[in-house]
Amino acid sequence: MSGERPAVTDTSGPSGPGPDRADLSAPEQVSSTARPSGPGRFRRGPAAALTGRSRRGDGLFAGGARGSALFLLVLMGAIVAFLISQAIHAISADSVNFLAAFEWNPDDDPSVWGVALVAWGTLVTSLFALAIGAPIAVGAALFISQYAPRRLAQVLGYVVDLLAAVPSVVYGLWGIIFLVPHMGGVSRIVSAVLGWIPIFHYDGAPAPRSVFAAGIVLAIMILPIVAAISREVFLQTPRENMEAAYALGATKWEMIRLAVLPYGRSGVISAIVLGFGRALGETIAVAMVLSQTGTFFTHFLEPGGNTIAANIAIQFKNAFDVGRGALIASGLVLFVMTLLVNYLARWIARRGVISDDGMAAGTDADQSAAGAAAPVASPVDVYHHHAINPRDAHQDPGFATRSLSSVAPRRRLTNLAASGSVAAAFLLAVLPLASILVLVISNGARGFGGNFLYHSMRNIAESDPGGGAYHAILGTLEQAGLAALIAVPIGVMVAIYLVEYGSGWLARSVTFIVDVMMGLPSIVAGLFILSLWILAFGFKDSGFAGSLALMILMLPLVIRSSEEMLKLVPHALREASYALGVPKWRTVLRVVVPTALPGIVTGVMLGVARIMGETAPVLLVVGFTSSINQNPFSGAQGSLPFFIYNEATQPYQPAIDRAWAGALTLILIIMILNLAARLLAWWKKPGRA
Amino acid sequence: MAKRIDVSGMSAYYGGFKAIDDISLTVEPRTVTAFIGPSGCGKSTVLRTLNRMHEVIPGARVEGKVLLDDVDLYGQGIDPVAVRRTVGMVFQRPNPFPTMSIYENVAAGLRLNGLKHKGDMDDLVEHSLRGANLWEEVKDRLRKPGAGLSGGQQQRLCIARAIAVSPDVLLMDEPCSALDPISTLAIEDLIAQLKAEYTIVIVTHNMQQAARVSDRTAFFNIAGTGQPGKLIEIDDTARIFANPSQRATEDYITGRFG
Repeated sequence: MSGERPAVTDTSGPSGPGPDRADLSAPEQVSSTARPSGPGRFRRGPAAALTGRSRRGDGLFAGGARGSALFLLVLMGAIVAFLISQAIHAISADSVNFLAAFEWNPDDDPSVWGVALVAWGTLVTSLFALAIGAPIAVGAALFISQYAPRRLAQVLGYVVDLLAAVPSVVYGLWGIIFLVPHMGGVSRIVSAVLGWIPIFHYDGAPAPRSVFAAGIVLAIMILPIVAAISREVFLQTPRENMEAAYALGATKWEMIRLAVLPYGRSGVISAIVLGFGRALGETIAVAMVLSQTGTFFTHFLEPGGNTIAANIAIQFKNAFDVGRGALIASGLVLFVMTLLVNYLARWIARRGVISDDGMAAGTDADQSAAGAAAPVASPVDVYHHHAINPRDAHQDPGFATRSLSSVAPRRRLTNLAASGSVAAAFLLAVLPLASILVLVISNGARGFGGNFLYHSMRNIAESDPGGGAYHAILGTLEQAGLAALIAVPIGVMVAIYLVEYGSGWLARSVTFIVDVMMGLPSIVAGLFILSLWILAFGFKDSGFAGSLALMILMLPLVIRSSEEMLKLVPHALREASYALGVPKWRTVLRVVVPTALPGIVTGVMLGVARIMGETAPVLLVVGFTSSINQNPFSGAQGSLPFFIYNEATQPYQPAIDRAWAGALTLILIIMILNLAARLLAWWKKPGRA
Repeated sequence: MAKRIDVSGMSAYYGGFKAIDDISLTVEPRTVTAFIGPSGCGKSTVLRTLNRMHEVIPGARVEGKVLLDDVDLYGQGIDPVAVRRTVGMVFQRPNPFPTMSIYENVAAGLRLNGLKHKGDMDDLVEHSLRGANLWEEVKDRLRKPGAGLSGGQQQRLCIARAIAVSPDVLLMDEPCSALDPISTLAIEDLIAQLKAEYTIVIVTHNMQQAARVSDRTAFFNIAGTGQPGKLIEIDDTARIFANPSQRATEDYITGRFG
């Protein structure tokens, strides 16, 4: 206590005289009888009331949450350890350096294989896709968030989100049926116009199924995801920053360069890097479009090229012992590549947050020349390094005479050109995506006739019309349902652990593991279940094996979305419950989880929609059948993505019609799930009523 | 059974930061005691130590004794969960459970504790809502969400929820600071009625409110930012406002600082 001022002057406090207390406590006995009898009936014995009673429930529940977290840790540990042991087996059998060699003949004697060729193909194809896709996606996002009228923007936003959910097998179908036949001509033009650039140079007749074609399909695939995230980021630009720019007389484009782009820079870059990660791990669309060759390619327009994921999907069924190990090793290389890319994305995003002092700071590449790294919204800063520079003003007649009718021609032209480019980017993004949707709907509706939804392919030759996808639809629903049944309870418990209990090494490791799993290429999940469940444990191909692979993919989605939702529950509600003397576990189960439930359910539905379209993992483990198998635990089972893949790669028109119809069915199921999830989120949004 | 609170030599910490330094005070049963003082002086922290809500915040801890009728709340074998059933709390912002109806909100304390008194529950809800002066306003819409009420009604709903578990003590942390003057008046009237049954401690920024509702007033202060809060004096409200024994109290009450 500070000496000057006597801290407490309490006439009846503990320091006060005893009798004072006795006097005041006297009325207590009187009025205990005066108390209304109503609530009195619910009293517990006051003497014993303050000692422990709630501990066992709390202990059990916390134990369950912790157990789920540990389970996840062990599961991922097992996956990595198992894959590494398999890979080491193949690497030690390899007679050359597995990182540097171009050949892929692991099952020969002596075994000769290396990942250099496929890794090169993966990197180049993905980078090419990124070079085309990223600028278009960012431009489209700018158009939707800044240029489109508000109402249209909302609709477009939903459309982009929904397109991001279109499964890759549908892009592959579009690529092989629509794009590839048109690629010959496009390639010729590219070769003629850009032939002076070595990579675009090609002497022979350009092949339709080239790295160029695969890159374009990949670019279209990453468009929606990059655009969706960039749009979110742009929409979050603080109004004050934008108004500060406008208030200084900035044109729309100047405003975007001053306020929107610098604010969203790190978010957009991390979206692009995430799109890159997705392109790296993409399997089925590339496998469908490329005609794989084992030769090293240096020209985009040559036939051939290969990627790690596509190589696994195509080769695994034909591989023997060492071959499988070699493919697993290549899968691990892919895993490490995506991991690094995802971490890069997260690092960029986080750097943006840290350097952000209430708003994202940093310099635009052009502006850094002006030498300022100050927060963008500072009006002085805006004044200093833009076209509204006082020095310019003197040379600028419009500015000098303070014309109110127009800005300087140069600025107006720049603004116009920028608006035009952004709108063009939007159109470029929309065209292929619209083409995909239109083709799926029109071709799909044609194949939809007859008994497509009720019949299987049993006793139907691929070259014959008729037949249907009932066996595949049933299989996909069962597999996704089973996967959700396993992933949801574990995932939600892990999320509860992270939000309500997590601290220390376990929480940190689980957060890390979930990060890693988010970037797990789906083919690697399939690879794991194939090598462990089927090859090591000796189980046969089955729907359930597919469920297990899908479960691995769904777990991080459920954990991450549930975690976000639980974090959104106001702390005041937990406190209100604690203040009523409710133990923690009941607070979590009866107050926190119900409050977060609509969000958790939405996340689960989006997760189910996402795994339903996964082709690569089921391709490896569910087996192939054209008959109805209702039992996911025994025998090969159909699967809708696999059905589409199989029909699309047949050389018969009836089969291709069935592929379109299957794609329409799959998209419809996914869209319905998505819409239902969004409706639920909107309907349960607090404050709507 | 309203109970007496005896705080002796109590200090409270947030991690390494000492928020409260060595406080001793007594709160008599069936009285209203107001905690006043400038922002950051620790009055809410002291309030939260009285039902062990302080330790809900990670890293927060308490030293010293808080006796509730001679039982040390921080003693061996005391379950904080059970303490909070005995010492109820109403928060600054009304916080009804958004997923529950008005009825369920009132019944929440017992239901969440796993108690089911099917027949009696209706009586209890009505009794508690009457106790919170809310029954007449909501009796026709008990099944509607609690979040649909006005701010003042929500706060009275939270009071009904708190008294439904039959606490001995009711803590109120600036219960009117988010409310308009009419709703504030309703809560103040309610406090005057609740005094007959409960020991009430209320934190308030509003000195008129302290003067209106409390029997005794405790004044807290801090020497400066980063310093722990201290109890300057506690006395009958009339004396604190008319003739405080400490200069700092007088300065604060007459508006010379804070």
